[in-house]
Amino acid sequence: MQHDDGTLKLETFRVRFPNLTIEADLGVERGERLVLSGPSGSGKTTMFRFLAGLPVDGVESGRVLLGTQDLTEWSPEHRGFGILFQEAVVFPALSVLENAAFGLKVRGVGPEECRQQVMPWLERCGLARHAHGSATTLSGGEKQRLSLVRALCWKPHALLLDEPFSALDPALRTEMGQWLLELHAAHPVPLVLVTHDLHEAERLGTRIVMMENHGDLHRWKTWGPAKSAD
Amino acid sequence: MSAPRRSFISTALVIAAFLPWFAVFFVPALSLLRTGQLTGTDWTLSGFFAGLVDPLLLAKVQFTAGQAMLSALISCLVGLPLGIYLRHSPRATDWLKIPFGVPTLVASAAWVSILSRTSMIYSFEAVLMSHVVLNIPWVASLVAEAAGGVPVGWDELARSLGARSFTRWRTVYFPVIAPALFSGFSQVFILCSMSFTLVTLLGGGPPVETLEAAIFASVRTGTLDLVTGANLSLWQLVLSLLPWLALRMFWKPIAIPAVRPASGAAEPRWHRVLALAWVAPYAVFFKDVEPTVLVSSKFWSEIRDPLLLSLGLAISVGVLAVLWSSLAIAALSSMREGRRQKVVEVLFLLPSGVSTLTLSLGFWLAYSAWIDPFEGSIAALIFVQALIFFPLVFRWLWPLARLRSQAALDVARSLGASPLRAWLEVEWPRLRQPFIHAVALVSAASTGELAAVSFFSSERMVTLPLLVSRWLAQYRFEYAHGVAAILLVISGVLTLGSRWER
Repeated sequence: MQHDDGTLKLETFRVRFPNLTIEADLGVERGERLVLSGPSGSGKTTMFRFLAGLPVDGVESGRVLLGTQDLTEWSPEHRGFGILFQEAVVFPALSVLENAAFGLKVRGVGPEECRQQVMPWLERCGLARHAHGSATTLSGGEKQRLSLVRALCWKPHALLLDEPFSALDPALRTEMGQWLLELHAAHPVPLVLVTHDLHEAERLGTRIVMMENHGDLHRWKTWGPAKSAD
Repeated sequence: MSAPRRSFISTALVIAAFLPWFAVFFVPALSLLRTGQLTGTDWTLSGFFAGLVDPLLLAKVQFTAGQAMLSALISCLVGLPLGIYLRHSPRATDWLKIPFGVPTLVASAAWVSILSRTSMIYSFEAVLMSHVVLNIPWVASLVAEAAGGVPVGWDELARSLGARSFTRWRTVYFPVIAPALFSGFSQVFILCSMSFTLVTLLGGGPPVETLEAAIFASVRTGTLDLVTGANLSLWQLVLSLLPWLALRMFWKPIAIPAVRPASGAAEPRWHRVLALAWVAPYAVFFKDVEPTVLVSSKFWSEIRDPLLLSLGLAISVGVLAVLWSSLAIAALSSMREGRRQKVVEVLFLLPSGVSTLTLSLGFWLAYSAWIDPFEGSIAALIFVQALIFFPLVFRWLWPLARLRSQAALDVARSLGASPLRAWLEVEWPRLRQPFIHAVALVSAASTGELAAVSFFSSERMVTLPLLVSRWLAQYRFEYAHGVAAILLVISGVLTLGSRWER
């Protein structure tokens, strides 16, 4: 699949809630880390789910593009985006290695090749010693690291993260943020991070998008100049 | 997936799940209503009410409701203190459910064996006692689970606020136990009002005749009286559905945090002995079974065909009930949570408030053009039994299925898995064992089912429970006990075997 420059775009997005309408037009370039930061109920997760192709209620319009390719009607499994949720999600029936290799396995990569491709990622994240153990025995931070590896190791076209570290304690959040920067540097795809923590937004984002409040209409627009991705 | 497509799939699933419900439950229920109104060739409303208030029929209603009420009351009076006593023993509470794994027919045959040594056999007291002994552990397990689920912190908090022992019981424990007790009472009442096997084998015929036994008598023995059978079935429907509806409307369990309270001490072994004591009556088989019968070729040649038929029937019913439940679960899962979903859920559970014989008669009346019970019908048996067990399987599997991790499914799909593959990789490993267990449990229950079998069997189509019933009636106790012991082994192997996991 060719995606030209690989820029992820959300165009003419409009969603209506009972007392609120949210509009957004965003673009994230390759290697860029765009942070959506705003209070609860400002539509961050709605935008996240729309980008990921997951069911969302109340959407009136909107297009998701990767380069020139329109993905709006594509189901999540065909979009090729790695996603992370607030709660670390592991597949309980699978080992750590199988969890990490899930994206490769469903693309028909054989077990041995999966192992070869995934083990360096697990080693980098300090999870190699748990590779054959059950993913359910990992700690919260380890599970989230595993989720990050699983979202990235099959080389997705973009990475979407919905408050991925908010359930962790402050020390672990800082550590996880560092992991994210390192892993993203190794695989510099467009990255969208949803967070309500401004410090985290400053630290992890190359560009921050804030919500503008116009009464019943909330509009998302870029805030501040883009920082270098390095 | 777009919203219209999701809505289309959801509607299609709901329709698919309701088709068998409509065909095997709704249409037969409607046929009962129609037949119950018949007077001669016409039907009238006055004829309908006249049929329903026939004094002979009302006497059966009174007897059925009275014995069910008494059985439920005594079961609760004994089950309540037993459950409270065992509340901190989860394993013993689990063991209290073992008697419910014993097929009703086997339990009934055991009671015949025990009571034949006394003057109580074939009496109202015999029916009452066996009902009570069978249901006490069930009530006790409901109470124990409810009381045992109360977090220790609630009690400690009430104590720290100055509440004395009685106040703590009234304010902390009673609000949790009361719904469980009400649920236990209603369930026992329903079970006893629908009881057929125990009443038939231990009651000894009229005057100890419940509605179920009377339905059977009006259709399968003596003169064929479909109108009386239908009217009896309508009363049976009312008796079993009223407490069921009351249970659905008024039973609102208190939400308790999903933490097991720390008991602080190891579970006393005595508690497990107490829980297991309720299966002791069934040990009588192993005393009464004649080993020479079990090794005789005559015995095995007589039971070979019924054994094969029972096993085939059991597996078919188990698989069909679970497949149907899976379809219903898929339909509910595709719906949004809310009132509509709740209504559909209640409709799926509705057959659990209807007795087997009522359903069987309705099924016959609805499909009499194709089915003649006097000729025997394996298809009718499979459908009716599957419908009887469907609500049980559904009620067991639906809460497990709805615990699905939507986030895990979303992640699996974002990683490239199709919806089916995501479900197979993420959800199926969690649900596989309960589904297999459900097939085994239904199959085990089906092997001991007598009511539908009595209705749709023929001389050419005899199952093991029917064989036991006939041999007991012919005083061939050694053969009946031999078959009952085999039924006990089959249900034991099925239920315990399905728990085995590699």
